[in-house]
Amino acid sequence: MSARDVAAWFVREVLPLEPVLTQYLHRNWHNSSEIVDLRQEVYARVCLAAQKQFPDETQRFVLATARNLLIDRLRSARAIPFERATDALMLDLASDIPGPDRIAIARDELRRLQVALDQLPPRCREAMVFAHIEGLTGHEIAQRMNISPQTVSAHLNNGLRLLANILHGEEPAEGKAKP
Amino acid sequence: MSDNALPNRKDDATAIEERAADWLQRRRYWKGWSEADQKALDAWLAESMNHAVAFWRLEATLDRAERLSALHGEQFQRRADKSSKRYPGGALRLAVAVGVVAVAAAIGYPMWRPAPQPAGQFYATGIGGRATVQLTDGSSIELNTNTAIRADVRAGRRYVSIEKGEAFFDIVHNAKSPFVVDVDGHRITDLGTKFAVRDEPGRVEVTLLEGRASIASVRPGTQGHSAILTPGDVAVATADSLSVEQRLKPTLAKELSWRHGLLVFDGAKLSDVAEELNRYSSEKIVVAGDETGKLTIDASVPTDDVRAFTRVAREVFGLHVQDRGNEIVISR
Repeated sequence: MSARDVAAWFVREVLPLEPVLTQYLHRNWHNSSEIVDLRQEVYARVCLAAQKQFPDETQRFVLATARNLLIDRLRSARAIPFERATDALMLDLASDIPGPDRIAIARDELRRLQVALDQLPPRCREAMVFAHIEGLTGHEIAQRMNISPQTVSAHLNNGLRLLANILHGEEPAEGKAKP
Repeated sequence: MSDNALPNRKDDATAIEERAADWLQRRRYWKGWSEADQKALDAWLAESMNHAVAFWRLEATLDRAERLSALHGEQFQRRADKSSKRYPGGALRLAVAVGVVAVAAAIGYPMWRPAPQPAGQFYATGIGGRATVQLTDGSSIELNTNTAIRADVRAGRRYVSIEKGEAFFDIVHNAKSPFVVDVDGHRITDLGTKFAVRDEPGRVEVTLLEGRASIASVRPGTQGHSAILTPGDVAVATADSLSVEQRLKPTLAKELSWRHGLLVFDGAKLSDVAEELNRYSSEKIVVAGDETGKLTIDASVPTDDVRAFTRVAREVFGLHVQDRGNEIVISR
Protein backbone atom coordinates (compact mmCIF):
# COMPACT_ATOMS: atom_id res chain seq x y z
CA MET A 1 0.00 0.00 0.00
CA SER A 2 1.46 3.36 -0.93
CA ALA A 3 1.67 6.21 1.56
CA ARG A 4 -1.02 7.97 -0.41
CA ASP A 5 -3.37 4.98 -0.16
CA VAL A 6 -2.74 4.73 3.56
CA ALA A 7 -3.34 8.47 4.00
CA ALA A 8 -6.61 8.29 2.10
CA TRP A 9 -7.73 5.26 4.06
CA PHE A 10 -6.74 6.91 7.34
CA VAL A 11 -8.75 10.04 6.59
CA ARG A 12 -11.73 8.11 5.29
CA GLU A 13 -11.99 5.22 7.74
CA VAL A 14 -9.96 5.96 10.85
CA LEU A 15 -10.38 9.68 11.56
CA PRO A 16 -14.18 9.45 11.80
CA LEU A 17 -13.61 7.02 14.67
CA GLU A 18 -11.76 9.63 16.72
CA PRO A 19 -14.64 10.26 19.15
CA VAL A 20 -15.01 6.52 19.72
CA LEU A 21 -11.28 6.06 20.19
CA THR A 22 -10.89 9.04 22.49
CA GLN A 23 -13.80 7.88 24.59
CA TYR A 24 -12.27 4.41 24.84
CA LEU A 25 -8.91 5.84 25.91
CA HIS A 26 -10.50 8.11 28.50
CA ARG A 27 -12.44 5.27 30.01
CA ASN A 28 -9.48 2.97 30.23
CA TRP A 29 -6.57 5.21 31.05
CA HIS A 30 -5.98 6.88 34.36
CA ASN A 31 -4.05 9.90 33.12
CA SER A 32 -6.05 12.07 30.76
CA SER A 33 -3.06 14.27 29.98
CA GLU A 34 -1.65 11.34 28.00
CA ILE A 35 -4.64 10.86 25.72
CA VAL A 36 -3.20 12.95 22.87
CA ASP A 37 -0.04 10.88 22.94
CA LEU A 38 -1.91 7.57 23.11
CA ARG A 39 -4.21 8.55 20.27
CA GLN A 40 -1.33 9.52 18.02
CA GLU A 41 0.44 6.25 18.84
CA VAL A 42 -2.70 4.23 18.02
CA TYR A 43 -3.00 6.04 14.70
CA ALA A 44 0.65 5.37 13.91
CA ARG A 45 0.36 1.67 14.75
CA VAL A 46 -2.84 1.28 12.79
CA CYS A 47 -1.31 2.94 9.72
CA LEU A 48 1.88 0.89 9.97
CA ALA A 49 -0.28 -2.22 9.88
CA ALA A 50 -2.35 -0.82 7.02
CA GLN A 51 0.77 -0.43 4.90
CA LYS A 52 0.74 -4.22 4.61
CA GLN A 53 -2.99 -4.78 4.59
CA PHE A 54 -6.14 -2.84 5.35
CA PRO A 55 -8.11 -4.47 8.16
CA ASP A 56 -11.60 -5.78 7.39
CA GLU A 57 -13.28 -4.06 10.29
CA THR A 58 -11.62 -0.74 10.93
CA GLN A 59 -13.30 0.11 14.21
CA ARG A 60 -12.61 -3.27 15.78
CA PHE A 61 -9.01 -3.05 14.62
CA VAL A 62 -8.51 0.49 15.94
CA LEU A 63 -9.91 -0.39 19.35
CA ALA A 64 -7.90 -3.62 19.52
CA THR A 65 -4.77 -1.63 18.71
CA ALA A 66 -5.67 0.84 21.45
CA ARG A 67 -6.14 -1.98 23.91
CA ASN A 68 -2.80 -3.52 23.02
CA LEU A 69 -1.08 -0.18 23.36
CA LEU A 70 -2.57 0.35 26.81
CA ILE A 71 -1.40 -3.11 27.81
CA ASP A 72 2.11 -2.26 26.58
CA ARG A 73 2.10 0.97 28.52
CA LEU A 74 0.87 -0.71 31.66
CA ARG A 75 3.51 -3.36 31.34
CA SER A 76 6.31 -0.85 30.96
CA ALA A 77 4.95 1.40 33.67
CA ARG A 78 4.27 -1.53 36.02
CA ALA A 79 1.71 0.68 37.64
CA ILE A 80 -1.12 -1.78 37.92
CA PRO A 81 -0.97 -5.56 38.25
CA PHE A 82 -0.93 -6.78 34.69
CA GLU A 83 -3.65 -9.45 34.87
CA ARG A 84 -6.25 -7.22 36.44
CA ALA A 85 -5.72 -4.37 34.05
CA THR A 86 -5.97 -6.45 30.90
CA ASP A 87 -9.15 -8.12 32.10
CA ALA A 88 -10.82 -4.76 32.40
CA LEU A 89 -9.62 -3.69 28.97
CA MET A 90 -10.82 -6.88 27.29
CA LEU A 91 -14.24 -6.43 28.73
CA ASP A 92 -14.54 -2.93 27.47
CA LEU A 93 -13.60 -3.76 23.92
CA ALA A 94 -16.53 -6.14 23.73
CA SER A 95 -19.05 -3.37 24.27
CA ASP A 96 -20.36 -2.49 20.90
CA ILE A 97 -20.08 1.17 20.02
CA PRO A 98 -21.85 1.88 16.75
CA GLY A 99 -19.62 3.18 13.98
CA PRO A 100 -20.29 6.56 12.45
CA ASP A 101 -22.03 6.66 9.13
CA ARG A 102 -20.91 9.73 7.29
CA ILE A 103 -23.41 9.74 4.49
CA ALA A 104 -24.94 13.09 3.62
CA ILE A 105 -22.70 14.80 6.12
CA ALA A 106 -21.88 17.59 3.70
CA ARG A 107 -25.34 19.04 4.06
CA ASP A 108 -24.58 20.37 7.49
CA GLU A 109 -20.85 20.67 7.11
CA LEU A 110 -20.78 24.41 6.63
CA ARG A 111 -22.89 25.04 9.70
CA ARG A 112 -20.71 22.74 11.77
CA LEU A 113 -17.59 24.50 10.55
CA GLN A 114 -19.03 27.84 11.60
CA VAL A 115 -19.87 26.50 15.04
CA ALA A 116 -16.36 25.07 15.35
CA LEU A 117 -14.85 28.36 14.26
CA ASP A 118 -16.81 30.22 16.90
CA GLN A 119 -15.23 28.09 19.61
CA LEU A 120 -11.74 29.38 18.85
CA PRO A 121 -10.13 32.15 20.93
CA PRO A 122 -11.03 35.57 19.41
CA ARG A 123 -7.72 36.53 17.75
CA CYS A 124 -7.15 33.01 16.56
CA ARG A 125 -10.64 32.88 15.09
CA GLU A 126 -10.04 36.20 13.43
CA ALA A 127 -6.90 34.95 11.70
CA MET A 128 -8.73 31.84 10.52
CA VAL A 129 -11.64 33.91 9.21
CA PHE A 130 -9.25 36.11 7.27
CA ALA A 131 -7.46 33.07 5.87
CA HIS A 132 -10.45 30.93 5.00
CA ILE A 133 -13.35 33.25 4.39
CA GLU A 134 -11.60 36.38 3.18
CA GLY A 135 -8.98 34.34 1.35
CA LEU A 136 -6.01 36.38 2.58
CA THR A 137 -2.43 35.15 2.73
CA GLY A 138 -0.42 35.11 5.95
CA HIS A 139 1.29 38.40 5.15
CA GLU A 140 -1.99 40.09 4.32
CA ILE A 141 -3.45 38.85 7.59
CA ALA A 142 -0.47 40.27 9.48
CA GLN A 143 -1.11 43.66 7.89
CA ARG A 144 -4.83 43.58 8.56
CA MET A 145 -4.47 42.53 12.18
CA ASN A 146 -1.45 44.73 12.64
CA ILE A 147 0.65 41.94 14.16
CA SER A 148 3.86 40.22 13.13
CA PRO A 149 3.89 37.33 10.65
CA GLN A 150 5.23 35.15 13.49
CA THR A 151 2.16 35.87 15.58
CA VAL A 152 -0.08 35.15 12.61
CA SER A 153 1.75 31.82 12.23
CA ALA A 154 1.12 31.02 15.87
CA HIS A 155 -2.59 31.88 15.54
CA LEU A 156 -2.99 29.78 12.40
CA ASN A 157 -1.02 26.92 13.91
CA ASN A 158 -3.26 26.92 17.00
CA GLY A 159 -6.38 27.46 14.94
CA LEU A 160 -5.68 24.41 12.85
CA ARG A 161 -4.97 22.18 15.84
CA LEU A 162 -7.99 23.39 17.78
CA LEU A 163 -10.25 22.93 14.77
CA ALA A 164 -8.93 19.38 14.40
CA ASN A 165 -9.86 18.62 18.00
CA ILE A 166 -13.29 20.15 17.63
CA LEU A 167 -14.13 18.67 14.23
CA HIS A 168 -12.73 15.18 14.67
CA GLY A 169 -13.61 15.01 18.33
CA GLU A 170 -17.31 15.57 17.94
CA GLU A 171 -19.86 12.85 17.50
CA PRO A 172 -21.07 12.53 13.93
CA ALA A 173 -24.22 14.60 13.81
CA GLU A 174 -26.09 12.50 11.30
CA GLY A 175 -26.70 8.90 10.46
CA LYS A 176 -25.98 8.00 14.04
CA ALA A 177 -26.74 4.63 15.56
CA LYS A 178 -30.02 3.32 14.36
CA PRO A 179 -31.37 1.14 17.16
CA MET B 1 10.25 1.45 25.65
CA SER B 2 11.71 2.30 29.03
CA ASP B 3 10.01 3.64 32.10
CA ASN B 4 11.82 6.89 32.15
CA ALA B 5 10.55 7.70 28.64
CA LEU B 6 7.05 8.06 30.02
CA PRO B 7 6.99 11.63 31.35
CA ASN B 8 8.01 13.06 27.99
CA ARG B 9 5.51 11.19 25.90
CA LYS B 10 2.75 13.74 25.99
CA ASP B 11 5.17 16.48 25.05
CA ASP B 12 6.48 14.43 22.18
CA ALA B 13 3.06 13.90 20.69
CA THR B 14 2.13 17.55 21.09
CA ALA B 15 5.45 18.65 19.64
CA ILE B 16 4.86 16.47 16.60
CA GLU B 17 1.39 17.90 16.19
CA GLU B 18 2.73 21.45 16.40
CA ARG B 19 5.36 20.65 13.82
CA ALA B 20 2.75 19.11 11.51
CA ALA B 21 0.56 22.21 11.89
CA ASP B 22 3.57 24.33 11.12
CA TRP B 23 4.29 22.56 7.82
CA LEU B 24 0.66 22.79 6.81
CA GLN B 25 0.18 26.43 7.62
CA ARG B 26 3.41 27.40 5.92
CA ARG B 27 2.32 25.61 2.77
CA ARG B 28 -1.27 26.80 2.91
CA TYR B 29 -1.16 30.41 4.09
CA TRP B 30 2.18 31.82 3.04
CA LYS B 31 3.75 32.52 -0.30
CA GLY B 32 7.01 31.05 -1.42
CA TRP B 33 6.56 27.34 -0.69
CA SER B 34 9.35 25.81 -2.75
CA GLU B 35 10.27 22.41 -4.06
CA ALA B 36 12.96 22.29 -1.39
CA ASP B 37 10.26 22.87 1.24
CA GLN B 38 8.18 20.06 -0.21
CA LYS B 39 11.21 17.75 -0.14
CA ALA B 40 11.93 18.63 3.47
CA LEU B 41 8.29 17.94 4.33
CA ASP B 42 8.33 14.61 2.49
CA ALA B 43 11.46 13.63 4.40
CA TRP B 44 9.88 14.59 7.72
CA LEU B 45 6.78 12.57 6.89
CA ALA B 46 8.86 9.54 5.91
CA GLU B 47 10.81 9.73 9.16
CA SER B 48 8.06 8.32 11.34
CA MET B 49 4.47 7.17 11.05
CA ASN B 50 3.73 9.37 14.08
CA HIS B 51 4.70 12.37 11.96
CA ALA B 52 2.55 11.16 9.07
CA VAL B 53 -0.63 10.52 11.07
CA ALA B 54 -0.41 13.87 12.86
CA PHE B 55 0.02 15.57 9.49
CA TRP B 56 -2.82 13.67 7.77
CA ARG B 57 -5.17 14.42 10.63
CA LEU B 58 -4.53 18.16 10.43
CA GLU B 59 -4.53 18.10 6.65
CA ALA B 60 -8.00 16.56 6.71
CA THR B 61 -9.05 19.38 9.04
CA LEU B 62 -7.66 21.98 6.68
CA ASP B 63 -9.53 20.38 3.78
CA ARG B 64 -12.77 20.66 5.69
CA ALA B 65 -12.00 24.26 6.58
CA GLU B 66 -11.65 25.08 2.87
CA ARG B 67 -15.42 24.87 2.60
CA LEU B 68 -15.58 28.03 4.70
CA SER B 69 -14.65 29.98 1.58
CA ALA B 70 -18.30 29.53 0.58
CA LEU B 71 -19.07 32.15 3.24
CA HIS B 72 -16.97 34.75 1.49
CA GLY B 73 -18.86 38.02 1.20
CA GLU B 74 -21.36 37.16 3.90
CA GLN B 75 -21.70 39.01 7.18
CA PHE B 76 -19.51 36.53 8.97
CA GLN B 77 -16.79 38.92 9.98
CA ARG B 78 -19.04 40.91 12.26
CA ARG B 79 -18.59 38.95 15.41
CA ALA B 80 -14.83 39.02 15.15
CA ASP B 81 -14.86 42.77 14.63
CA LYS B 82 -16.70 43.32 17.87
CA SER B 83 -14.18 41.44 19.93
CA SER B 84 -11.24 43.41 18.65
CA LYS B 85 -10.31 46.67 17.08
CA ARG B 86 -11.58 47.69 13.69
CA TYR B 87 -9.42 47.60 10.67
CA PRO B 88 -8.82 50.37 8.21
CA GLY B 89 -11.21 49.93 5.32
CA GLY B 90 -10.22 49.40 1.76
CA ALA B 91 -8.41 46.59 0.09
CA LEU B 92 -4.92 45.76 1.14
CA ARG B 93 -4.04 43.61 -1.79
CA LEU B 94 -0.31 43.28 -1.98
CA ALA B 95 1.52 43.93 -5.18
CA VAL B 96 2.38 40.34 -5.77
CA ALA B 97 1.75 38.22 -8.79
CA VAL B 98 -0.82 35.56 -8.05
CA GLY B 99 -1.41 33.61 -4.86
CA VAL B 100 -2.87 30.19 -4.52
CA VAL B 101 -5.43 30.45 -1.82
CA ALA B 102 -6.80 27.04 -1.21
CA VAL B 103 -4.81 23.91 -1.34
CA ALA B 104 -4.86 20.18 -0.97
CA ALA B 105 -7.56 17.63 -0.60
CA ALA B 106 -8.17 14.34 1.10
CA ILE B 107 -6.20 12.61 -1.58
CA GLY B 108 -3.56 14.15 -3.77
CA TYR B 109 -1.35 17.03 -2.84
CA PRO B 110 -1.46 20.20 -4.85
CA MET B 111 1.34 20.30 -7.30
CA TRP B 112 3.43 23.39 -6.97
CA ARG B 113 5.72 24.17 -9.82
CA PRO B 114 8.08 27.02 -10.47
CA ALA B 115 6.95 29.47 -13.14
CA PRO B 116 7.44 27.61 -16.42
CA GLN B 117 8.55 28.89 -19.80
CA PRO B 118 5.11 29.89 -21.17
CA ALA B 119 3.87 33.05 -19.52
CA GLY B 120 1.83 32.69 -16.35
CA GLN B 121 1.61 30.62 -13.26
CA PHE B 122 0.74 26.93 -13.25
CA TYR B 123 -1.89 25.60 -10.86
CA ALA B 124 -3.11 22.05 -10.50
CA THR B 125 -5.11 19.74 -8.30
CA GLY B 126 -4.82 15.96 -7.95
CA ILE B 127 -7.63 13.43 -8.08
CA GLY B 128 -10.19 14.37 -5.44
CA GLY B 129 -8.55 17.77 -4.98
CA ARG B 130 -10.15 21.19 -5.00
CA ALA B 131 -8.47 24.58 -4.82
CA THR B 132 -9.21 28.26 -5.26
CA VAL B 133 -6.84 30.58 -7.07
CA GLN B 134 -7.21 34.21 -6.11
CA LEU B 135 -6.04 36.53 -8.88
CA THR B 136 -4.64 39.98 -8.28
CA ASP B 137 -7.43 41.64 -10.29
CA GLY B 138 -9.95 40.38 -7.74
CA SER B 139 -11.16 37.51 -9.89
CA SER B 140 -11.02 33.97 -8.60
CA ILE B 141 -10.86 30.53 -10.14
CA GLU B 142 -12.01 27.38 -8.37
CA LEU B 143 -10.33 24.23 -9.58
CA ASN B 144 -12.19 20.94 -9.35
CA THR B 145 -10.65 17.47 -9.16
CA ASN B 146 -7.72 16.56 -11.43
CA THR B 147 -7.44 19.98 -13.04
CA ALA B 148 -4.53 21.99 -14.44
CA ILE B 149 -4.54 25.60 -15.60
CA ARG B 150 -2.09 28.34 -16.40
CA ALA B 151 -2.96 31.90 -15.42
CA ASP B 152 -1.31 35.06 -16.68
CA VAL B 153 -2.95 38.06 -15.07
CA ARG B 154 -1.21 41.40 -14.90
CA ALA B 155 -1.74 44.97 -16.06
CA GLY B 156 -3.28 44.90 -19.52
CA ARG B 157 -3.49 41.13 -19.77
CA ARG B 158 -5.92 38.62 -18.30
CA TYR B 159 -5.39 35.21 -19.80
CA VAL B 160 -5.98 31.66 -18.58
CA SER B 161 -5.51 28.39 -20.40
CA ILE B 162 -7.11 25.19 -19.16
CA GLU B 163 -4.98 22.14 -19.75
CA LYS B 164 -7.42 19.66 -18.28
CA GLY B 165 -10.27 19.29 -15.84
CA GLU B 166 -12.97 21.66 -14.65
CA ALA B 167 -12.93 25.18 -13.23
CA PHE B 168 -15.35 27.83 -12.07
CA PHE B 169 -14.53 31.44 -12.92
CA ASP B 170 -15.73 34.48 -11.00
CA ILE B 171 -14.45 37.39 -13.06
CA VAL B 172 -14.31 41.01 -11.99
CA HIS B 173 -15.44 43.38 -14.71
CA ASN B 174 -12.81 45.46 -16.46
CA ALA B 175 -13.99 47.11 -19.67
CA LYS B 176 -10.45 47.79 -20.85
CA SER B 177 -9.21 44.28 -20.34
CA PRO B 178 -11.43 41.33 -21.29
CA PHE B 179 -10.76 38.06 -19.53
CA VAL B 180 -9.79 35.34 -22.00
CA VAL B 181 -9.92 31.61 -21.34
CA ASP B 182 -8.52 29.16 -23.85
CA VAL B 183 -9.52 25.54 -23.67
CA ASP B 184 -8.94 22.80 -26.20
CA GLY B 185 -9.10 25.01 -29.29
CA HIS B 186 -11.96 27.18 -28.03
CA ARG B 187 -11.75 30.68 -26.69
CA ILE B 188 -14.10 32.14 -24.11
CA THR B 189 -14.03 35.91 -23.84
CA ASP B 190 -15.94 37.61 -21.11
CA LEU B 191 -16.51 40.97 -19.51
CA GLY B 192 -17.29 40.25 -15.90
CA THR B 193 -19.21 37.04 -15.37
CA LYS B 194 -19.46 33.82 -13.49
CA PHE B 195 -19.05 30.69 -15.54
CA ALA B 196 -17.78 27.12 -15.38
CA VAL B 197 -15.68 25.29 -17.92
CA ARG B 198 -15.34 21.53 -18.12
CA ASP B 199 -12.75 20.04 -20.43
CA GLU B 200 -13.34 16.45 -21.47
CA PRO B 201 -11.67 14.52 -24.25
CA GLY B 202 -13.00 15.98 -27.53
CA ARG B 203 -15.61 18.12 -25.79
CA VAL B 204 -15.76 21.39 -23.88
CA GLU B 205 -18.75 22.45 -21.82
CA VAL B 206 -19.24 26.06 -20.75
CA THR B 207 -21.96 27.00 -18.28
CA LEU B 208 -22.71 30.67 -17.85
CA LEU B 209 -24.24 31.75 -14.54
CA GLU B 210 -24.10 35.54 -14.67
CA GLY B 211 -23.11 38.25 -17.14
CA ARG B 212 -22.26 37.72 -20.77
CA ALA B 213 -19.50 35.97 -22.64
CA SER B 214 -18.63 34.71 -26.07
CA ILE B 215 -17.25 31.35 -27.08
CA ALA B 216 -15.47 30.82 -30.39
CA SER B 217 -13.39 28.18 -32.04
CA VAL B 218 -9.81 29.35 -32.47
CA ARG B 219 -8.24 26.15 -33.71
CA PRO B 220 -6.61 26.78 -37.08
CA GLY B 221 -8.35 25.15 -40.03
CA THR B 222 -11.73 24.65 -38.34
CA GLN B 223 -15.05 26.31 -39.04
CA GLY B 224 -15.13 29.57 -37.16
CA HIS B 225 -18.26 28.85 -35.15
CA SER B 226 -19.07 31.11 -32.24
CA ALA B 227 -21.91 32.04 -29.89
CA ILE B 228 -22.86 34.65 -27.35
CA LEU B 229 -23.80 33.20 -23.97
CA THR B 230 -26.32 34.69 -21.58
CA PRO B 231 -27.19 33.47 -18.04
CA GLY B 232 -28.43 29.90 -17.95
CA ASP B 233 -26.76 28.99 -21.23
CA VAL B 234 -24.80 25.79 -21.49
CA ALA B 235 -22.57 25.57 -24.55
CA VAL B 236 -21.15 22.28 -25.73
CA ALA B 237 -18.29 22.63 -28.18
CA THR B 238 -16.45 19.93 -30.07
CA ALA B 239 -13.89 20.22 -32.85
CA ASP B 240 -16.62 20.72 -35.47
CA SER B 241 -19.78 21.68 -33.65
CA LEU B 242 -21.18 24.13 -31.15
CA SER B 243 -24.57 23.87 -29.49
CA VAL B 244 -26.16 26.05 -26.84
CA GLU B 245 -29.11 25.18 -24.64
CA GLN B 246 -30.84 26.91 -21.76
CA ARG B 247 -30.98 25.19 -18.39
CA LEU B 248 -32.99 26.12 -15.33
CA LYS B 249 -31.26 27.52 -12.29
CA PRO B 250 -31.84 24.53 -10.00
CA THR B 251 -30.28 22.26 -12.62
CA LEU B 252 -27.26 24.53 -12.90
CA ALA B 253 -26.89 24.67 -9.12
CA LYS B 254 -26.83 20.88 -9.01
CA GLU B 255 -24.23 20.69 -11.74
CA LEU B 256 -22.00 23.14 -9.90
CA SER B 257 -22.48 21.65 -6.44
CA TRP B 258 -18.89 20.32 -6.61
CA ARG B 259 -17.87 23.82 -5.61
CA HIS B 260 -19.29 23.01 -2.19
CA GLY B 261 -17.86 19.51 -2.06
CA LEU B 262 -21.04 17.74 -3.04
CA LEU B 263 -22.18 15.81 -6.10
CA VAL B 264 -25.93 15.80 -6.62
CA PHE B 265 -27.63 13.20 -8.83
CA ASP B 266 -31.27 13.39 -9.73
CA GLY B 267 -32.62 10.44 -11.65
CA ALA B 268 -29.17 9.79 -13.11
CA LYS B 269 -28.16 6.46 -14.61
CA LEU B 270 -25.95 4.41 -12.30
CA SER B 271 -23.31 4.11 -15.02
CA ASP B 272 -23.18 7.92 -15.33
CA VAL B 273 -23.02 8.32 -11.56
CA ALA B 274 -20.07 5.92 -11.39
CA GLU B 275 -18.28 7.74 -14.19
CA GLU B 276 -18.72 11.07 -12.44
CA LEU B 277 -17.64 9.77 -9.04
CA ASN B 278 -14.56 8.17 -10.58
CA ARG B 279 -13.25 11.62 -11.41
CA TYR B 280 -12.87 12.26 -7.69
CA SER B 281 -11.20 9.12 -6.42
CA SER B 282 -8.34 6.85 -7.33
CA GLU B 283 -10.50 3.94 -6.24
CA LYS B 284 -12.65 3.33 -9.28
CA ILE B 285 -16.25 2.18 -9.21
CA VAL B 286 -17.06 -0.42 -11.87
CA VAL B 287 -20.68 -1.16 -12.74
CA ALA B 288 -21.10 -4.76 -13.83
CA GLY B 289 -23.75 -5.41 -16.47
CA ASP B 290 -25.74 -3.06 -18.74
CA GLU B 291 -28.97 -3.59 -16.81
CA THR B 292 -27.35 -2.49 -13.57
CA GLY B 293 -25.93 0.58 -15.27
CA LYS B 294 -29.40 1.67 -16.38
CA LEU B 295 -30.79 1.88 -12.85
CA THR B 296 -31.74 5.45 -11.99
CA ILE B 297 -30.33 7.00 -8.86
CA ASP B 298 -31.11 9.97 -6.64
CA ALA B 299 -28.20 10.72 -4.36
CA SER B 300 -25.98 13.38 -2.84
CA VAL B 301 -22.39 12.29 -2.42
CA PRO B 302 -19.56 14.22 -0.72
CA THR B 303 -16.68 14.60 -3.19
CA ASP B 304 -14.23 13.56 -0.50
CA ASP B 305 -16.10 10.41 0.42
CA VAL B 306 -17.04 8.60 -2.75
CA ARG B 307 -17.27 5.40 -0.73
CA ALA B 308 -20.36 6.78 0.92
CA PHE B 309 -22.09 6.07 -2.35
CA THR B 310 -21.09 2.41 -2.39
CA ARG B 311 -22.54 2.06 1.11
CA VAL B 312 -25.82 3.56 -0.08
CA ALA B 313 -25.78 1.30 -3.13
CA ARG B 314 -25.56 -1.69 -0.85
CA GLU B 315 -27.75 -0.62 2.02
CA VAL B 316 -30.42 1.44 0.28
CA PHE B 317 -30.54 0.11 -3.26
CA GLY B 318 -29.70 -3.45 -2.20
CA LEU B 319 -26.98 -3.89 -4.80
CA HIS B 320 -23.98 -6.17 -4.47
CA VAL B 321 -20.83 -4.25 -3.71
CA GLN B 322 -17.50 -5.96 -3.96
CA ASP B 323 -14.34 -4.20 -2.86
CA ARG B 324 -11.28 -5.34 -4.80
CA GLY B 325 -8.74 -2.93 -3.38
CA ASN B 326 -8.48 -0.12 -5.90
CA GLU B 327 -11.69 -1.15 -7.65
CA ILE B 328 -15.22 -1.42 -6.28
CA VAL B 329 -17.58 -3.54 -8.35
CA ILE B 330 -21.31 -2.86 -8.16
CA SER B 331 -23.69 -5.47 -9.52
CA ARG B 332 -27.28 -6.55 -9.09
